This record gives sequence, structure tokens and C-alpha cells, in this order.
Amino acid sequence: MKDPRFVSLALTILALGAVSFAFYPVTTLLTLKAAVILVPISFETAKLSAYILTCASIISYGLRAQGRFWNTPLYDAFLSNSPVRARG
Amino acid sequence: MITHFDSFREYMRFVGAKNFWDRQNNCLWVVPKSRLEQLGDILTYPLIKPLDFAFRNIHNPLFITALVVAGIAATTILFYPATFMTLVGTVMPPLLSITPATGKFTLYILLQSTIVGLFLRTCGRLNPAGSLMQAWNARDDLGQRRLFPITVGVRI
Repeated sequence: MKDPRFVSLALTILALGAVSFAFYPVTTLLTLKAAVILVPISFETAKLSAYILTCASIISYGLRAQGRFWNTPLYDAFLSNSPVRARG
Repeated sequence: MITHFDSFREYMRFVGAKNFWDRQNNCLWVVPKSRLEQLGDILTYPLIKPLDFAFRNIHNPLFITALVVAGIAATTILFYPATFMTLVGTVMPPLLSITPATGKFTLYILLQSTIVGLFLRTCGRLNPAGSLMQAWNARDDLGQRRLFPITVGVRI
């Protein structure tokens, strides 16, 4: 996953899909639906997985933000002109 | 050895670079390209080359004039398409046989081939055993990379 070639492949597939959808939306959606049927995972399972992933991400972001607010040294350093602030 | 980039921005600059500047020798980095990179260059040529030319000449008054003329032509086509088609039919009748669907498909193929070309060029560049990758990974005492990516539109 850390290999830049994997990132290139993923970005290329995404760009090809985006251009196809922009030019031929109906055909692209039909092809996508046909491809999804071939995947041996039910729609409900995929929906539940996406739901759990989304909820977990939201909770994680909330907990991290709260943790940073409670971290007094970090919060003070961020508000002052320290290198922590400069680096973002 | 897997190449690591410092940031996604640096990766994108590497992917989009038309050439590389060798900081060590203060000259253009010239090495034989791999076949994959050459194929990628060919596929990206129809879109990247005109863009490069346009960006390099954007300060040229003649080019600005050409842009203005192109803008006026585009506006005329937009406001008076029927008149434009009549004019095209009079000046170049074979152009009337080109349907909008054909134009759309041509643009689609052009964009898709450019994306595939960029991918192939990147794969060629990211070859760990390639001389470009080894030069890219080399850093000086200050931690700066030996090669500097020259983006599209930059005059060398």
C-alpha cells in the first residue's frame, strides 16, 4: 500500500471512472451495477460495513479533537507562535 | 527499494514533471527513457504539449491576441450556432459530417488516453532499478533531493 505505484494505479482507475461518468453517465452506471453483482457480498453487508466505518471515523475524529483540546501543552503551543503552530 | 515521497504534493509534481533539473551538475537531467515512459509520453503528447506551449507563451503578446481571437470565436459559436454552422458548411463542407457525438467521443478518448499515458509514464519513472529513481532518491547534505521536477509550462 505504501508503494507509489499502487497510488498511481488507484488514482488512474479513479480518473478513468470519473471521466467515463462525466461523458457517459448512464453506460458507466450500468457497467458499475453489472460489476457489483459479480462481487460475492450482499448489498446489506456492504451497507452495514460502510455505516460502521463512517460512524467509527466520526467518533474517532470527535475523540481526537476532544483529546487535543484537553491537551493543555498542545493547545497553548498552538495558540502561541511556537513551532508547533508553524508546522500546523 | 520502494521510493518514498515527502508529501502527496511532491508525488504529484514528480508525476506531472516534463523534465528534471539536476541540482548537483546544474543542468537538465538527460537519461534514456524506459519504453514504458516513452509510450506514456506519446499518449500524453496531444494534451500536454499544447498546454506546455500555452503556459510557456502566455506572456507573448501574439499569443494573447490569438487567445482573444479564439475567445471571440467561441462566444460567436455560443451565441449564433446556426450562423456558425452555415459558415462552416460554406467554407469546409466535410466538417458538417462530424456529429456532436463523434466530437464527444474523440474528446473522451483523448482524455482517457492521456490518463493512461500519465499512468504508464509514472510507472516507467517509478522503476526502482531505473537511473531516474536512483537520482531522485539521492539527497545532498542539506537533505534536498538531487533532482528538481520541472512542471509543465516552465521555461528552461
